[in-house]
Amino acid sequence: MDAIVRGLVVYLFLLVLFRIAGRRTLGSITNFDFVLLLIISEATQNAMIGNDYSVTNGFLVILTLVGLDIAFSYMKQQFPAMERYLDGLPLILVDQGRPLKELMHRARVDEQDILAAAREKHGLERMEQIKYAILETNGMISIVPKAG
Amino acid sequence: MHEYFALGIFPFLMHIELIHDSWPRLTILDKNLQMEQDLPFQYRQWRWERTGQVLIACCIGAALLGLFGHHPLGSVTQQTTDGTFSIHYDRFARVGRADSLLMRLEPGAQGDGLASIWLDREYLDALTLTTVSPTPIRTEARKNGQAFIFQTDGNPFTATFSVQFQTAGTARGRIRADDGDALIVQHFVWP
Repeated sequence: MDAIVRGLVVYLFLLVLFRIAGRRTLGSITNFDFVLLLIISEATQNAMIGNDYSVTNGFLVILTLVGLDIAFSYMKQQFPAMERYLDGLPLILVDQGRPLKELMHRARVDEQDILAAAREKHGLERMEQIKYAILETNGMISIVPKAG
Repeated sequence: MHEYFALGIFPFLMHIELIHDSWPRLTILDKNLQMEQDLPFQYRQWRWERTGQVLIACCIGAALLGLFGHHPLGSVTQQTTDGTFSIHYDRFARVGRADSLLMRLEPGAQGDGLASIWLDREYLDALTLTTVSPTPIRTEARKNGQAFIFQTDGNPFTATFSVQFQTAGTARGRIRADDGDALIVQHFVWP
């Protein structure tokens, strides 16, 4: 019982926290993000396991986390509106080579992030070569290049 | 019109929008791009994100001010009206974490070479007593509680009770030295 409640509380806490932090927080794993991820995993492990280091407790926590993940995926399938709230929606940041600065500022993405994604994925050199840059729900930037 | 509210605590909180009446609405008219974009929804999400970020800052601020325990501002000292018995403890504790209660008895609160500290049953039920320093010469079940008897040399005497709280919520108890006035201690225990 205790292990399941702990797993549930920590899962929901992290879910809300990362929604608040915004999708760019762990969208691209920089060195700092990697360290952040390691520290968070260490801190949450203590919160979930407590003083009970038994295999049974570990199994129960894992089962709770995986169970919640499965439950949320079913719920998102059943109620598409819920998916919007849990995962967010994609966002166009560059439209026909024109950076939408207001949206980029709010999404904490700068032109260099977009150009880096354009270089990495399509070998593009300039903003004008981009038809659309889209901030996906997982925090990655996808690029649609202009034709020709 | 945008109004900006600079908090100046963290860079990510530098701009908090207070009025959202005339946020820009963008419509992308390209039927080839099969993508759901809902800018009013996105702006609402950002508003929630900003609110959440303010809450995060408030929680960090509260922790720095001692709301979550183990902090100089969160500790309190209580003493009897005659000043012969005092207790120093943390108002905020956490389940399973070691906390200590520092009890000081002036010679007036001590008996003949002996000092006794009594804790009531309700308080003892809320916690696990891990160590008592110095070690009492004996303990006695007394008046719906437990008394710890220490040997003293007639000088001011300090005993430290190391405790761990077992359940979240409010933990309240009465503690007294010998047959003196009882002091009421109260903690809020975070889960």
